[in-house]
Amino acid sequence: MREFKQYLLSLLILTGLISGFVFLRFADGYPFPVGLQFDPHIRQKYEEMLAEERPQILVFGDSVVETNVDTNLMASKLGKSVSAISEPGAGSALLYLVLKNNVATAESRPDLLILLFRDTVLTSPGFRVHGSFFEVMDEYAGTEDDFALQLAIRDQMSPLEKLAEAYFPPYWGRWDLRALLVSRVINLPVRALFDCTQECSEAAMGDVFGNQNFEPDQLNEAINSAENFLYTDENLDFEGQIDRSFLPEIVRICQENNIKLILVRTKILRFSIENPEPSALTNYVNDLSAYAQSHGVILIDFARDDRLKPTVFKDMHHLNQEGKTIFSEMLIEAIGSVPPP
Amino acid sequence: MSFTSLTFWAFFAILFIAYWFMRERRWQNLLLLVASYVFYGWLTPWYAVLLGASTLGDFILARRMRQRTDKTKVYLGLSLILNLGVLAFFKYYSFFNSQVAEALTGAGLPVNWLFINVFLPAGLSFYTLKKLAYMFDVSRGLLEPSDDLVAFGLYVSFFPQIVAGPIDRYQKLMPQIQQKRVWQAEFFYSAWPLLVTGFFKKIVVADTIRSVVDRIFALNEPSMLLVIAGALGFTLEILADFSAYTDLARGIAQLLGFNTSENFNKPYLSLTPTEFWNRWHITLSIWLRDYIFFPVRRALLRRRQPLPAWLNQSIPPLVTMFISGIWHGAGLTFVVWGIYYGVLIAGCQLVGLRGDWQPAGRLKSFFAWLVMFAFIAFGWLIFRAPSLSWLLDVFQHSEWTHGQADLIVALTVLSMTLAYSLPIYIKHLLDEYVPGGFVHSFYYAALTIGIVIFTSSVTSDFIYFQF
Repeated sequence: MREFKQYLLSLLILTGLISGFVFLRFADGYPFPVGLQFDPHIRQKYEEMLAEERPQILVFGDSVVETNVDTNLMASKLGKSVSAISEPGAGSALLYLVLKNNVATAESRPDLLILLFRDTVLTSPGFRVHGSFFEVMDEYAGTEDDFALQLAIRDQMSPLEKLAEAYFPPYWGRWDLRALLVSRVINLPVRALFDCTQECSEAAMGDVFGNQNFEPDQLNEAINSAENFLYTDENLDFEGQIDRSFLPEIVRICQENNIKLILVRTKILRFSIENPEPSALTNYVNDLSAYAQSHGVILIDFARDDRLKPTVFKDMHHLNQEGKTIFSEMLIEAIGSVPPP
Repeated sequence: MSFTSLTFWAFFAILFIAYWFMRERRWQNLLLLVASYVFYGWLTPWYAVLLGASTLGDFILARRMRQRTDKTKVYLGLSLILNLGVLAFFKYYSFFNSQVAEALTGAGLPVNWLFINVFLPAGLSFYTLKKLAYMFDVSRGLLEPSDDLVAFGLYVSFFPQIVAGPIDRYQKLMPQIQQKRVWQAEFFYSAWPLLVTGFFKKIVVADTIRSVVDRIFALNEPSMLLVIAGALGFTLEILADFSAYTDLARGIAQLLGFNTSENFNKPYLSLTPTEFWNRWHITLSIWLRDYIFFPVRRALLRRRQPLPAWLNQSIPPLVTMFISGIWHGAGLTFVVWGIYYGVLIAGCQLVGLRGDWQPAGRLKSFFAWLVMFAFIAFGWLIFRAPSLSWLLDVFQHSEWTHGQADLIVALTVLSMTLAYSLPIYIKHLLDEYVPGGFVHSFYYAALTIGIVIFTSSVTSDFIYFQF
């Protein structure tokens, strides 16, 4: 009893001290803004690229665009100019931001936008929005992009978490406090021995832990495990997710800018004979297909296409050179049958 | 359900209120039994069905054993087939099917039927050992078989323990299940330090260090220095993760009026491998000692043609630790890890370094600790390595370092390991030199602030769930 009272008293004192520190060091006002915030600057990298290349067709998506699509082959076979935007690791929040703030604002917009995605990515707004992914999102977002923060960050929080973020200083300041611990304590030896700052230390991490340095099986396992998020009951419920996702906005932006949208579901090696696709995912794709049809969007599903054998994959998601050619031919064939916009 | 999820605590809050509103022990037990099955079958309901079927099987077999004493061995055999058969199937099917499939494909036979989904139900290894201990004790006449299916079912499935222990014996838990339980404030006062420590070790220490350790062990060709840093990081991670689970399990059990066993007693301060296993995963060690080590030693000593003394001394730890290795997982790394400890224990015993060995003088003690700690960390390296070939490759081909970036990362990981192990070490010092008082309360308050700062919406599973 006595120890518990002492504990509560200590907790009160420590909370007061940490709160004071957070107010003095990091805060601008109270209550605190819930969730992360974007800075005003918006990078115009792709807007400039589109102005320069003026493509008729734009292939858009994560790193799969880079490894799976041969834009030169597409351009020569389709007789149209083709460009690609490949944002490694992009979730739907980043794809939405690039589309809204770079593609839709470009002086020269493509006639056709081919958006590559896998399974439930387009209706899982909380997928890949934290840590370094948020930093990339911030590059393509401005302060007026509160809608993206709402869907990607705030909607993913529990009511308790939102309350703690708004009113409890140690919780709101946790990222800054952790960063302080890393820079002042964890990085102390490397700073002393190598004169290596936080940025230098992060660069070393990036160098040593680059994807190319991982065992393929281990990398696949890690990817698979991180992707479990896409296959939760919640994210496999298309009807439950669609109104809380970026997909309706992606469709709207394309329609308002006279861009014909084609969604291409890519094949991945997550499912096999030993681990077949769950029926909930099959239902999800059926619902997505019906949604696309009702909104004038074309959905091409390559997820079960036998032309892409496991031997043409270099990991769970990405194709090798042979696979790239096969996939590009498949895409050309499918696009060829689409009526011109 | 994970102990660190909001879902669990919502579930526990409802259970806690309903449980203490019930005055009758029978109803309390029934509620705990239902709650345990809900907890266990939350994500995969058929796990609960498997648990129920195997519990019922052992309940019936134990009673038959007592009714037909002339057929004790038959019923014990059936129980062994039931328990070990289920365990072996779920634990080793996936390991063997790929190798069998390879052989069949080579012979031109179809193999698709082999690739069915077989996932190891969480905690199967733990509750199997609980049931086996009960069956062994009933067969030896040390226990009267239970005639209360609800109480026996609760003993096997008691939710704070079912997923990762502690593996409490029937003799410890059953009397508590059978006695009247009335709420006492003391339950809470014993529970809160365990809960705070458990959350801290899991959320702040284990999950943070895990993020870099996992990456090191996924590298294709890591440098030797990075592997050493990774091994030390994992040494901290596995202690923090597993002891966190035990602390939380014990704290939750306390809130329900149960006193469960400690599983860790400063294991990394051990001076010999025997002492390490007396301090690490204590309930498993006791189980292995009572049901593998002692019977093997007895069998050797009873041989008509006795073996040489050194063999009598070496075989029991080797067999015990080999079994411990395969219990931990299907894979050569686990087997080698088990044998490694078997050899270490046998070797130390042969040269007279038993579990209670203490060198004279502080310097000698320090060096003895350093050597043992190196052995422990090396053991965890074998345990955590993705494969034996990966480990051999590291030893045969890896350079000490691949350059400055590599050095910086290794040093950062070492620095992380040291920084995040400090709170655990401070607790040891407090227990040793400042027993009780305000300093302890302040320490727990600091841990609570740490939990708040490190809380993330997503926490990874406890490592020992997989065993």
